[in-house]
Amino acid sequence: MTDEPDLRENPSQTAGPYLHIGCTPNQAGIDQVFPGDLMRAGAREDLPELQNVTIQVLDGQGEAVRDAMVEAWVAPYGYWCRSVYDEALDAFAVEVPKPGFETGEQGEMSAPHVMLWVVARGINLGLLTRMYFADDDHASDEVLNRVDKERRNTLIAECTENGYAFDIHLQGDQETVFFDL
Amino acid sequence: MTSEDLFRPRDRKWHPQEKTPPYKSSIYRSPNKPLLYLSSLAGDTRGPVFGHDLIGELDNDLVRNFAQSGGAPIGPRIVIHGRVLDENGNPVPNTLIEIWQANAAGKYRHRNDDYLAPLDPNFGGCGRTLTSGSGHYEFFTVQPGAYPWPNHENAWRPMHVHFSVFGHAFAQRLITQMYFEGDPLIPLCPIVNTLQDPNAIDQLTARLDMNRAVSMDHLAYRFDIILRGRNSTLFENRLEGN
Repeated sequence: MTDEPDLRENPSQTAGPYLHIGCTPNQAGIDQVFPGDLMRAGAREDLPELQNVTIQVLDGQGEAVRDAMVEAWVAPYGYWCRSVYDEALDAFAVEVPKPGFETGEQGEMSAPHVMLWVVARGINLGLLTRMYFADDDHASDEVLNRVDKERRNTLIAECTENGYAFDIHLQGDQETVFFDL
Repeated sequence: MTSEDLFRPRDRKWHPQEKTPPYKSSIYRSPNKPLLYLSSLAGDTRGPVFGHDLIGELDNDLVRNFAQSGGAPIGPRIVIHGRVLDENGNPVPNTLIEIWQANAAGKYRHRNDDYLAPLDPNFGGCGRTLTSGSGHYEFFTVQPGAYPWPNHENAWRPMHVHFSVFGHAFAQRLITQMYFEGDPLIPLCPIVNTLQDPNAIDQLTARLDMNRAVSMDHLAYRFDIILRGRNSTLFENRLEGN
């Protein structure tokens, strides 16, 4: 028996270079339409302390992808946030609550991680990846263990003085592992 | 979580490939290595929730939400409307849609847009709304113009509106573009042609909808948005021993 859906998902198209107009209009200088940009959801007082993460998005030639947008989803807390390029920082900045270790329905272990979604001019379908944290023990993480050993480090944010740093390489020798979810 | 939470895997032949060289920006911004398939459970089957208090009265009215007192944007006045459904035909209520577009001259209100066409002092180009309980949405706007872009000699984008849709699960998150029925630039565009299947292009092409047009006021275009659906049927079949 086949499982043909009644309908098909709308196919994706690139977000293009002007996504800021729609997603962060105030930061794009269109400041009279919405009172503020929609930058996060699910923030609550009882969340763990938010961690600063500085993210670089780099293309296959090592150039910064400054017209991208990065969204973070922290499933256990229903916490979502987004970030566009911050000129002063020369990077993307997100603040996320760091989740704990979890055990899934079938006993699969997962280390603390955040899901990241990257869209930009030239990205035809938003790219999904996971960001883990360098100061955790990932040895039992079911998903990381499915990733080639030499590429696991592409999913792990480094500790810095005031938080974490994570590089997303869209392409190249250090290409980040992206997921088909 | 139960088996019914699983989303159908994305059909990667229906969506554009990552690397589509005729669309030059994709060449260095696309992974070379294959994606790693994870069950949608791994990405969680929920997503951010936005309340109606987020949405202002004019947020879905691009004709008025940037216009100066007494002014109005130039261009054909249109309503874009439709429903957000999942692949199983279920409406997706209370989900956030964000749109952005060029003005009627094909110019974006963005510092990186250097096309010589003028800005419209009465047009910002952004809107947002939450779908109704039955998944309906509508935007009031002006039809955007086509515009040139530097992809190749004499490259022009067809008229289009960008859509960002959240759905109810992060696995449903989608950004896409809506085109206009009858636009002769559609088949010439390398971004449109990242889609291999003519039916996929057709699904992104809004239809003129005279039933919703209002005499002496505005035309209307219908654009339904389908998000990924859950795959419970397949799971049940497997349980039956197929």
